[in-house]
Amino acid sequence: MAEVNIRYRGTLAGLINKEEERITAETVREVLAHIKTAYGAAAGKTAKSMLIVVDGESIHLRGGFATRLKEGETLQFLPICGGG
Amino acid sequence: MILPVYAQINLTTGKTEDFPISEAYFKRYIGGKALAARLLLDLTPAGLSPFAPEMAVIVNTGPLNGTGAPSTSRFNVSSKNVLTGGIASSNCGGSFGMMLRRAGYEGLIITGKAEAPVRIDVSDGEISILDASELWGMDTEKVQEELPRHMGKLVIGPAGERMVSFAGLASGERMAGRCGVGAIFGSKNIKALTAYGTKKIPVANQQKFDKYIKKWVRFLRKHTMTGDSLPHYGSAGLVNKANASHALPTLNFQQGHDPLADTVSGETLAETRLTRNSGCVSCPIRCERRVMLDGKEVKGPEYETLGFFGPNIGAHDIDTVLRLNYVCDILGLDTISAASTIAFAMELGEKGMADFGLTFGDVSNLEETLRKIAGREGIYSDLANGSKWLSEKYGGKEFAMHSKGLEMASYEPRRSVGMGLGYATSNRGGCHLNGGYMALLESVGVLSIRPQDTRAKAQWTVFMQNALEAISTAGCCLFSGQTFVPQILFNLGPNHFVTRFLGQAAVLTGPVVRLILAVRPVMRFNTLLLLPHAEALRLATGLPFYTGSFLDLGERTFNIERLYNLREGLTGEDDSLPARLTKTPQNPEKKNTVVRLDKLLPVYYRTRGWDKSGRPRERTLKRLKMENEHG
Ligand code: SF4
Repeated sequence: MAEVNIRYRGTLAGLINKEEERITAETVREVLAHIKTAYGAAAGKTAKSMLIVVDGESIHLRGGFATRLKEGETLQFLPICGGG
Repeated sequence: MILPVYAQINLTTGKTEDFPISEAYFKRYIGGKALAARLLLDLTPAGLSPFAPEMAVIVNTGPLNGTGAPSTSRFNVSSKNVLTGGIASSNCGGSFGMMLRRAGYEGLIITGKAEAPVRIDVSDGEISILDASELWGMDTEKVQEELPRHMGKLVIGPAGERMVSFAGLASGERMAGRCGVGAIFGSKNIKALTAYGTKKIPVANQQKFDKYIKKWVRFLRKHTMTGDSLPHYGSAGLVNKANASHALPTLNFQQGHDPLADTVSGETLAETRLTRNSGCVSCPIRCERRVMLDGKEVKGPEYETLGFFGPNIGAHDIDTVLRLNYVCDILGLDTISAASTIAFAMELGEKGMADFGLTFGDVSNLEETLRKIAGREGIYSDLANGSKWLSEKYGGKEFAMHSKGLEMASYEPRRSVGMGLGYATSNRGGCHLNGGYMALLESVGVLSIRPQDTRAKAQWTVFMQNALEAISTAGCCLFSGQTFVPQILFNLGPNHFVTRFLGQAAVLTGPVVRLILAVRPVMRFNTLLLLPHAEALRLATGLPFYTGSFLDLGERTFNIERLYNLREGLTGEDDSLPARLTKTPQNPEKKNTVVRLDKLLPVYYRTRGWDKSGRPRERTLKRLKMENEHG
């Protein structure tokens, strides 16, 4: 188990009324489970549909929801953006 | 049929006359960058210097400009590209395009050179060439303050006056930044264009048009991209996304990821500096973010500026980015080319190849550097010529990050190989938008089409380039096209197995895209879901625009600009990227983190209907009704 920093951005921050917290979790999936339990199903669903990055890197480049977390890492939930 | 009205202004003789646009040209090219490229081919001989008095600069609009359709404030400036020697087309928001049309003109063709600084004024059908000596020397903000408030304005700053190769034009706080169009104004002694009018902009089928517009606006408001993400974060929201995918240029494209990128991200900007959102006229998206600088509210930086005055120069101070963005705007400098040239100079310095007093991570002298570039002071005059020129003088061609001479935008293409192909083939040089903006589908959007895989990328690049070109030519903002990514994918999110499956499977869709490109003549339908612009264009012009013929318009736009480039001596050899991107893997442990242009280009040429040397085949031009339209 690792203690990690979680940063909530965009709509998720507004939904759960929180911008950051520290929790203990082994994988990204466990963080998502924590959000669902602590803040409700809607927050869990929103979190799951956002871009999730660990120390600035997309979980797609790591192990997806199974990405293992290391002590002190920062996991962020970011809104999907566009532009050009 | 309502044909566009153009005027030709010769600054050498002071003569102004209406310039008729034939029905054939209107049907084929409509307006904007497509018609401008055609006119440049007709009106200027090959091989002219961009600064020759005989060179034409065309400021024009598309049929949707100022009609009230969503996001249709964008107007176009075309000429010869100062940085590449090929086509220049630069696009800008703000009220100028609408004002020009209300003043009675869809476009201005300006040739010649004034003896002293002038302002060209177009007011209710009257064109006057006015003395502007007292405005010369002013920055873009000051000069616009001096001009009548109610007018649409298009001006140069000190950089344009000194013909800096990447000088742009300012309209309000918006910039037609790219390709050195500000330098061309400077070479002709044009300090400003102003326009004002009260004429109603005609639309062929007003009632149906109005009804459709309402539907389109509702659709834009409901879509995550145009109704939520762009209004909240603008393009700035892309910093963290690009960084997360290792597609954020870092230290002059040496890397694609910066652990401190969040310091200059759109989220940080929104959370800590944003005062409010704003936008261009008639735009429901309103992607502009306002910020405070020295007690004054100014336009916030776009994604490119955050990335290029942030991680790409090793800097992590958001206030510095806000300041440098503002300084570039008032000096009339394109932030992309300016910042990228500075990053290149920093690497030259690091390698001991040149010394401009610039070091990665040190932002203390950057404002002064920009002012010296704009003033072409001493050795900074070298920087004012852009990174290609600099690499020819000092070396470092393999890490001068441009294509054809135009500095690339802020997407590291080794993690978005379709974007790399787009940069290489874009007619105006290293531009993500003319290049088809594949980064949105590969690395920074909700979908991620295997960023390293070359399969299907050439076909998608052609499709995207054609679509974006058509939107531009019609007079619309490209952001309004981002609704073509289905809303369902945003509901599911990037982590859902369906979204991920589509990202994986899309590399097998090359033949499907080719089929779509082939069956365009029978695509006689319009839908909000794909290219809503087509129906608006049909109702505005009365011409039979459908999804298929709208894509044809985009393809014609791309090809006419290509013909201009070929006439000016550019060849397939110029569809290239610096060796850093094609030879050096971004991640040394992953050999595929390079752009395999050698694999991508042949498929791209074939899909485009070009020969092996990158020249449109006769049958392609015939299909596009462009036969006999060589340069
Ligand atoms: S989306 Fe942004 S740039 Fe485009 S027209 Fe609207 S406000 Fe202007």
